[in-house]
Amino acid sequence: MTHITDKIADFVFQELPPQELSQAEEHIGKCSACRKQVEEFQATLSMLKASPDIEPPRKICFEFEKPRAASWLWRWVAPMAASAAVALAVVSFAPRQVRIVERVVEQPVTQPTAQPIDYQRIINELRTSEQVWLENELQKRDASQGKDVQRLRGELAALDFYQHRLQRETWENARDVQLLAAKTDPGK
Amino acid sequence: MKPGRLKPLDDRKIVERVLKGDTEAFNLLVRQWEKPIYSFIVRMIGDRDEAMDLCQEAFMKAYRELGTLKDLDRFSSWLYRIAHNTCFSKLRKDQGKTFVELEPESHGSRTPIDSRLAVEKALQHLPDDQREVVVLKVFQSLKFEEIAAIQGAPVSTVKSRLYMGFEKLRSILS
Repeated sequence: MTHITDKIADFVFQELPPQELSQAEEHIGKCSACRKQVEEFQATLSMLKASPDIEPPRKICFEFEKPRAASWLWRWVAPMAASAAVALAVVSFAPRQVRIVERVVEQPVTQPTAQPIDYQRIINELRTSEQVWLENELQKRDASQGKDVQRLRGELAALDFYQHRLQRETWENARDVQLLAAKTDPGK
Repeated sequence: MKPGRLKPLDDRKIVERVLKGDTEAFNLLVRQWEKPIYSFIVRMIGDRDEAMDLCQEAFMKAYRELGTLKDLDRFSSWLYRIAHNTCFSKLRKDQGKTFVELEPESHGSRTPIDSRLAVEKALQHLPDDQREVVVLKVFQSLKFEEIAAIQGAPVSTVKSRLYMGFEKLRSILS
């Protein structure tokens, strides 16, 4: 019988090949010494696992500085400079530098905070808006009524004019009738 | 997905984008790995503020040296290796310094915070190599081969460090 002392970690962390795993399981079922070792190992592992993971206190975020675009002057100067460099046979292998600007972003507070509802403010706002609406409506009504009154006054004035004219015509007609009657009455 | 579990496909695509000049894509890698790397460092160092600084430093190094990454599918192992170097550089500097224990021994029922403090404190009693193996295996769920690559040690050495570490932790925590 081969003890599995040197394979306990592989057994507990399930890194044994399938064949060795079944052999180990079989052995642990029979050997109390190895079973005790496995139990102790698992108990320590459980104690360690009871410690929850640790969240970083803030988030890391890197800002990368973009390389600047070449100016119009450099576009003319660069080929000449390159030619000069070739002529001088000087080759430089300077590493490309990218400047990293490090920025640490504070973790945002995700818990929403309850805001008290200001009912009085809402009522006041409603009242104000209602008041404005009512005033507008009254002004509209007054404006339309004013027009109606004006129209009616005009109509009344016209009727009054026609009435006077009719009255005058009626009196004139009556006078004419009396004159004609007087002329035609042989008894007078 | 467990922390530390490798995601070669996603990481590979992002690394390729960064190498092609899309520098902003590096922040995707940071977002993906900052929590496991921070957890690893804080358990190694034991100081949260210091761990945050070291975490940033590790990512900064990773960005600068990304061009030296040979196997793009092994980005996470490579990143852990950088975090390992950053931690051990700090631990070497701090060698000989004495630290004041902030929390007294707690007895009775443990809350998750109590457990974490107890475990963090117990981890600090282990030698650096053993502590690193325990953290990478238990909390980061890395394979023994991956830990061996990070530590630059044979798998057998990694396993014996784990056994020794567990033995000490058992006597401290129980």
